[in-house]
Amino acid sequence: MSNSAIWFADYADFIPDFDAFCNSLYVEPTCCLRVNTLRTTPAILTDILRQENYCVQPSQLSEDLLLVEKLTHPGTLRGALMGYYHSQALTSALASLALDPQPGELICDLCAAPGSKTSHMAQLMRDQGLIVANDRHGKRLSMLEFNLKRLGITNTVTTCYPGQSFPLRHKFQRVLVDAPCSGEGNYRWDQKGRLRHRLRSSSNLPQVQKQLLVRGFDLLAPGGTLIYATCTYNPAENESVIQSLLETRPATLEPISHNLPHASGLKTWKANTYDERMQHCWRLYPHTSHSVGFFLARIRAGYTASGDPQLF
Amino acid sequence: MPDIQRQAILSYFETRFGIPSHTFDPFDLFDRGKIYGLLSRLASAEAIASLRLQNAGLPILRKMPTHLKPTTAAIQRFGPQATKHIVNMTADQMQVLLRTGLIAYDSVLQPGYVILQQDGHVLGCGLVTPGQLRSLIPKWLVKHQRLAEYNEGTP
Repeated sequence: MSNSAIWFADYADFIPDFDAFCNSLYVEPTCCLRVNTLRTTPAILTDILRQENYCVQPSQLSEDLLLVEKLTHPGTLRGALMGYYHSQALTSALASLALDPQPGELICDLCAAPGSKTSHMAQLMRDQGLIVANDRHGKRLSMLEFNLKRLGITNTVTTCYPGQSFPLRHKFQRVLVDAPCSGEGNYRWDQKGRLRHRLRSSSNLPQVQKQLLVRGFDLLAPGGTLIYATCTYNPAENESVIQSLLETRPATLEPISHNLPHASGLKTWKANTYDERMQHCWRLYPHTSHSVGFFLARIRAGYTASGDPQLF
Repeated sequence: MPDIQRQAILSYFETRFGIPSHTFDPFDLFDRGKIYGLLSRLASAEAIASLRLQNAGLPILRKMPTHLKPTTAAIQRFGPQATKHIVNMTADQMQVLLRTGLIAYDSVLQPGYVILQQDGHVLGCGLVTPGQLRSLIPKWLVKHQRLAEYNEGTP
């Protein structure tokens, strides 16, 4: 049994084709570059990369996401200096796409650093409107601000509140809760079987995640949309957190309509039974998405789908 | 910020670089201590006023004791619309400039800030002085770049 199979043995029952999953953790995913559409176009960046002899293909998710073979240090290319792209995992980019922010809207990114999703949302909004990018950690906020400057974004302000107590004075049309998590989706093993990229875990993560999700939901205008995202497989940090929201708030889980191989959210795990609507959540695995592991849930404020969200 | 003051500040870009003033129509200009910055005009002012902000928008001009200095972010974002004070460089010349920070440069350009371009792509801000061209691209942006060793005689 491989080291990855031992590490993730608890999840063998629900991860499809578990052997392929374990094997995929010994391979680095193809580098994904998100084109900074505020500066350039996919065609121009593709041309620049091909001139440097890289094999480039658009991803199936979006033409703005380019898959570049054998690019191990994307920060070393001239395009990085010019702010033409941002290196971001394909599955991570799905969070902003699923939130679908529109130009002119008011958006809250509750756990924003280091800013990959914030800057992606700014692009999708064509740099119009306002994103409040919050992170409780000052040092991480500096990384976020660095990325926003590098990519030339004007529609974002940064704040440094603990996400769980972000002020409720204003309602937002869309909220992103990219919660701190155990990061299992990023785990990789090298050829000697040593674990790399392991994040430090904390036993109270699910509690923190539940508080962040509730606060994110309470920040939504009626009919507003929230994306809850983690880069972990652990159901205690995913379905259990969503279940807790469904039991305490008038929330609706909505389908995600994008083109990337995924599995549905779980309906049971160990002694837990989850809401039927959990099927709308997406579980993304490295062996099927060819990216890092991710979990996404799209949530609407209110019990039924309504028209555009109204701001107070 | 009053319109007259806004126009006076933003006219810097038109005067020095030929960037049309309407380029900045979608943005509000704000004064934040040592810098002027841009924020999307569609940003909710009420939301901004109700929060304790760490930072806002994109810094575009730094206030120096005697003049204004454009930021790299501003040059990269709006530089493609410039029509003057542009220095076009080859890949080799740019490589040397990024590595050494300063090259000999004879130019008919009026001394002052310039836009550094390579193959039609804007890299950042430079400073032309008589006989010299200095890169003002921040070191933190350059440090990860793949730069070949500098050889005497490299163009």
